[in-house]
Amino acid sequence: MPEETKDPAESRQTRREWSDIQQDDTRRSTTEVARRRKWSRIGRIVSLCLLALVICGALIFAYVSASRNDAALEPSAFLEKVTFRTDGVLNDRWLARALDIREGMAMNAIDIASVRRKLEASGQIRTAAVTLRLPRELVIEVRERMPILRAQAEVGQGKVRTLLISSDGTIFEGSDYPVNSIRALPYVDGVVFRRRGEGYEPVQNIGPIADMLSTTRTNWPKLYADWQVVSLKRYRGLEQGSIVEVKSKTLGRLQFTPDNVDNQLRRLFGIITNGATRDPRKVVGVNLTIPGQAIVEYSATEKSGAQPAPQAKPATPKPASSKPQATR
Amino acid sequence: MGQDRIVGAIEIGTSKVTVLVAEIVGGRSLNIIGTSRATSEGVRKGQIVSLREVSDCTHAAIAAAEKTSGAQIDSAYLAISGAHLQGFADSGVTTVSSSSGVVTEGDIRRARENAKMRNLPQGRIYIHHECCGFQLDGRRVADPVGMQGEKVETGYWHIHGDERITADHLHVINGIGLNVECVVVSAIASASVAANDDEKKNGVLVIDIGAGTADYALYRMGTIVRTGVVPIGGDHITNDLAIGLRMNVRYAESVKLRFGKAVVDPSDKSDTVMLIGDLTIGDRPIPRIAIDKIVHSRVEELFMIVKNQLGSEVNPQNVPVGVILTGGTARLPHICDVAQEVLGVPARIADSPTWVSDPDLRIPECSTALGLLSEGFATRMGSYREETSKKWYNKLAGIFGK
Repeated sequence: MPEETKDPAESRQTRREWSDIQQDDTRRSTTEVARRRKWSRIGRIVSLCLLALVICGALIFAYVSASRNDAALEPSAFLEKVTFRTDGVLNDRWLARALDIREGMAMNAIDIASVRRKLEASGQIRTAAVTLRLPRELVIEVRERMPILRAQAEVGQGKVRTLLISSDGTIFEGSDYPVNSIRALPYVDGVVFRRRGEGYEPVQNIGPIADMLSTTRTNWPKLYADWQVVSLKRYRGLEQGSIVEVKSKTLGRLQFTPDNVDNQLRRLFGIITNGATRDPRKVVGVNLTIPGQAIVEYSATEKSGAQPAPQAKPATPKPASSKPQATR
Repeated sequence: MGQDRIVGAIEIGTSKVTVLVAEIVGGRSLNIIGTSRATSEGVRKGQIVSLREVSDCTHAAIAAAEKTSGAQIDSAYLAISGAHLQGFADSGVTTVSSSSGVVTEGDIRRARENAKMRNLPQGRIYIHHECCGFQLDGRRVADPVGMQGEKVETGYWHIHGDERITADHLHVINGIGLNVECVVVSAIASASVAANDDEKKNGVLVIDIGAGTADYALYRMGTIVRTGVVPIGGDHITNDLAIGLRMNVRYAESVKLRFGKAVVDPSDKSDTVMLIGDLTIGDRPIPRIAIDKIVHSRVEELFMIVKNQLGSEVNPQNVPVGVILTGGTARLPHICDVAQEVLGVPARIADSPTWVSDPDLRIPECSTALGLLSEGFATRMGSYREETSKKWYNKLAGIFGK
């Protein structure tokens, strides 16, 4: 039994406790059970981490959403910017005139459904997408109708207004179109304009007419430029006997059937280039409604001023190089 | 510890591995929530002879216990046994530092440190230090703090073991990803459950007879006086029967469990028992007296070794309570009679611990695991409370902005 106090520092170097044995619980698992337990533990940790991430993400999302909603609803949130995009001719000035929306108004006062209805009611706009981009922006994207015909309509008190007809038959008062592009459009005749609300009832069965005009403008631009009035008096869609009459500046009254227009225009072009224009008399009409034939109508007088009575003769269509057969 | 902590008490015995899973609530109470027992492989006489086999069965037992508890163990308490464990008594002495001669906590701490200073031979490592009480100027006192004196002495029973064998035990547990938080000698673990405080104060010898070893702990005046391990257990009785009666170990184990008793009964002289009992090929009659003699010889030898190791420590004056037997082999009929006869003190089988409600755990085989849980918790409770108080301190510090 020791009687004196020993120096602890000296003897600690040689005496060891069981707890001095290096324990490494991260060492490689020695059995299958240990490996399963390890993976189970890792899986549990990973699951917990994922769960924590999901919860954090959900909380952040909820917080951001709530902040946005708060920003949208708070009275200090005002419209700072209106972005307007179109595939046509309308511009920001038109938008400002058409809508009662101005920068600085409260965001929560903007009814985007009402804005959309108002835009689409103008007629010129086919579809409109209105988006409130919080906190302070309104985005309006529109697709416009393209006019194919124009008309003069009396709107009361002797005032006459130019109306436009689109390829789907919609009648609208166009805005911001270049003057030349409107002047290039032929007038329409034989259409009755009926009011419906603020606008007009659309023209029915105008699809074949739109195709005809589009084909003419694309493939026969010189012929198209010559057309002044398209009459729909005898037009009944694609029914038998339906006839479209076009008043041309140089060829007078042209008669088409609404189907197979390209073939009729080719016949017309053949007559013009190979026969009719060489005739001294003035052409006052061409009837292309008879399949495979064209009836050319001449004035009684020659181009120079002679006045023979106008006669009509069926002409057999020829290739573009062949001469037209016309009788006096 | 503000939150629950899950600990596992793991006893790797020679014949079985026992795992108890418990939750420590608030650093103060302990609830057993899962148990499992698995056949042990790769252990002989309490020592690991095949790390792979031991790992397989221990890990399977741990996984099964976790499954029954529905929780994953955070850290482990480990019971250790085997003939490599040895003990010695030593004491630390210091003079009282204050001029008034009043003993302070610092004096006690110095005396404790001095008592633990002895160096061990190469390859040996301390497993446990058990305080055996204090003496103030030569008179025995329970707690000298505040008393006046000149010299404080503290006695210790130190238990040390082989470093490599101990490390093997730790690495088996490390292999499943667990850290061993506390190592308890099996003898102390069993004794903590088998004997109560009064018995320990009066003097009692607790012997845990397992399959491979018998661990004993001698208590007097409430503290451990001696511990030891005798490398004899139930497996030796089985082995003796197998050799003595020329049968395989499996049948010998069966005969031991069915007919074995620790005393030689003269009435058994003409009696025979059937080896297998179903009259199949190999079944044969065995004289019962032969079984009795073989079992008695081994049991008597076991207690003789214990008596020789303890010497004069075991007598009716020092150990008035007597011997308390626990462990699986304590179920052997009449083993108390032999213990009483050899050791010369009363002997009895340990009572089931009252704080355990599960009947599956109220058996002598589970006393080590239960004691391990109890001792480990008692040892670590201080650190758990410290952790709890640190957490509370940190919270308070956060509140007051320290």
